[in-house]
Amino acid sequence: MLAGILGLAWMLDMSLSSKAEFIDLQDKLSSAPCKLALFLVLSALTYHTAAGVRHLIMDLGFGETKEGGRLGAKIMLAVSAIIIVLMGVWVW
Amino acid sequence: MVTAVTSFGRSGLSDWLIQRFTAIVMTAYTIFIVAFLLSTPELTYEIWSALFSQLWVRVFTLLVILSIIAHGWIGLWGVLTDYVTTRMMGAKAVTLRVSVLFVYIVVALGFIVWGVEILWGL
Repeated sequence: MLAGILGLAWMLDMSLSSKAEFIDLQDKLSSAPCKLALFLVLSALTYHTAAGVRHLIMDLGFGETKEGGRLGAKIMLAVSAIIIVLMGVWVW
Repeated sequence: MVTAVTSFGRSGLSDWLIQRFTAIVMTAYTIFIVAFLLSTPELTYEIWSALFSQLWVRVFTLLVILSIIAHGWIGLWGVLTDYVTTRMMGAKAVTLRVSVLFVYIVVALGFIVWGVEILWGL
């Protein structure tokens, strides 16, 4: 994921340096391998963020019991699965 | 108890707090960028560079870069001290942990310099 973020920074660098680079990035991102790589990085980040938000919620005192934790985990998994699918559609 | 020499903050509690603070900053930024992308279907270079020419967006992005580094360090430190232990692999665990963190710091410093260059287009 750390490497993925460096990849995203590379995209930001390209997209901001000039119009030509911006369009070049758009072309690159229309190729299947780039889309797959972007999708995998964004999926990892989505899952990590969803789990992290769940931890923040637990830090606030919700869902800290065994049952609450289990339920929270299921909700988090469902939410990250939905976001990943939507993001997948958006990337493809 | 693991000697907290290589941890990020002054104490476990400050690490705990920094990790939460940076998590909120990064999540807010993610929502901001995703909302922006979803609300501008036909994204052009002009729109995108205009967004990043605003000072507050540049400062926010730089804050996120610093947050990524701090969050990453704390997370990596937690993973290393849990799994790369002398109990598991003897004395070389410390050498391995310290060298991994050293590589992380070097990459992190490079990332900050690069980030500033991206945003302020030096």
